[in-house]
Amino acid sequence: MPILYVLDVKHGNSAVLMDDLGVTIIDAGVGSDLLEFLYENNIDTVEILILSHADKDHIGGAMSLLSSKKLRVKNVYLNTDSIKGSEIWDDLAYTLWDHHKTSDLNFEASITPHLNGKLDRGKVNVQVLGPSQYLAAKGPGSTDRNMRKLTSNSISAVIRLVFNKMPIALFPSDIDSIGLDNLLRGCDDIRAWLVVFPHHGGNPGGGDIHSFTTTFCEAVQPERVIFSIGHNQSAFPNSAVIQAIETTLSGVRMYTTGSSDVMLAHIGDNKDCPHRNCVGNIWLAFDKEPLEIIYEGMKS
Amino acid sequence: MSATMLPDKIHRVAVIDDDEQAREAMAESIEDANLQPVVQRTRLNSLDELIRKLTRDADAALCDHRLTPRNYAAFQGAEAVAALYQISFPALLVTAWSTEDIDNIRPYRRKIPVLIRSGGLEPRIIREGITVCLNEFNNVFLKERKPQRVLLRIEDTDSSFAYVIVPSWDPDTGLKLPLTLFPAHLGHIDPGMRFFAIVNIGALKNEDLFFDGFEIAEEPGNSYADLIRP
Repeated sequence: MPILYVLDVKHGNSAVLMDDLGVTIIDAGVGSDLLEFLYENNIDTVEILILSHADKDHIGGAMSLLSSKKLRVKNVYLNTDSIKGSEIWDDLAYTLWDHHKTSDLNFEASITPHLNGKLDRGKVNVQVLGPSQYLAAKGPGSTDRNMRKLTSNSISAVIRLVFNKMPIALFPSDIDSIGLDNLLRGCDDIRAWLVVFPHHGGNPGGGDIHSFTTTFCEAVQPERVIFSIGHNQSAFPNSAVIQAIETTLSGVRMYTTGSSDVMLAHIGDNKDCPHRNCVGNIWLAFDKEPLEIIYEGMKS
Repeated sequence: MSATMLPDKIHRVAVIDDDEQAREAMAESIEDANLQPVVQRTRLNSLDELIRKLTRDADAALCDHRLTPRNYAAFQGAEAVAALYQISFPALLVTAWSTEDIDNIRPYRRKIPVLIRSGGLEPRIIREGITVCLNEFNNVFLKERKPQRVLLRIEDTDSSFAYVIVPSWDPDTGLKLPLTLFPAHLGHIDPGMRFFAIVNIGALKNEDLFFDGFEIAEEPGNSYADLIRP
């Protein structure tokens, strides 16, 4: 039965979907947290590695996976434009080639909805909601149809996991207000029960933080919101984001993977507060009713 | 008293330091850890002599890094701890100069499981440190010490050092590595070259990183060659 893990990879994103026919990874963070998780769970084969957003702090973790001799990665998908022409891009090419030599890797330098139907490895439908092929082809530095300048964040891949026709989890990477606007124009349903909030709950860039959060929450309508952050954070998630989420979503529960002064202050002494600070790794069994997440911090 | 359990065979802990006062302080810490200090007061002429004495008189060791200034030893502490690691003898390196001495500690760092900053020599740290060593001898590593094969890129070189980036550890932090760390068979080390190496990318600090098992990274071929910038 499928299980989803949202990993505590400090200031970064990484999620692991263990489905009946293999493991899919969405983002790899940086450092060894993901690699350690895979070893601890005796995973030696990754069917699909999706790098939704090609920032260097996402690629570092991917390169450690690809360099490992104990792990086989079969398919890698990545939107490349934000790093093309950089040293880190060449680093990635070396590790892709190194991995390919020993295990016949399939690599595609594009993540758009054209992949839909190719990413499922069991009961969970892995959907690419965005960016559109139009936006991905234009790339960072160009403009969208409304002549707004696109950044690498604007074309962040947005991935959704659907189980039994129910949209369970959304991974919008670092999508900004322009990317969100384009996503909503091309996609009439981006709802999900759980979301890993964009930008670790920080400023989305190029837009009003309250307006972005409200628009995003109204479109996704999540019941659980995760902020994937590092430890001892004083700026993440932004307090305006927390307030806008609470105002927009009735009964929502928020979780930070690392420790956040902002979330701690928000929870305060309220023992009935539904939100949790510094929960570590989070996991979710898709077949459990009612659906509920479990987190590492529950042990203590 | 520390709660860390040590095997019965670990009881006597050798104190290796060229400074008499430091030796006394180390010995006190060892006693506070409910272990028996074995203080080495006389000069050590060789690593062989050190190994012979320690394997006879002690079960573990605390070793300062700078041992040569007072003509106390013919070697430095990092070298000694690494030699002891080779024979699965638990030894902890102590230094006030973890940052300043990193260039001469680094070549031995893979075989130095525990580097204690002077002033941090608490009884609990000693017991835990010995346990870390014993675990490594059984291939059980702390996350911060686990060896991983990763890519590194040479950014620049001078006559003594290579300046490298390890993207899987921190793509924004440059590291200075002595050229002597690279095996001679790899040839001349030039900017732009890439290697695979065994690195503990779970390490939190630069001075805790080790590098070993260098291989030249092959330039991408087939369609992957097209990914590389001209």
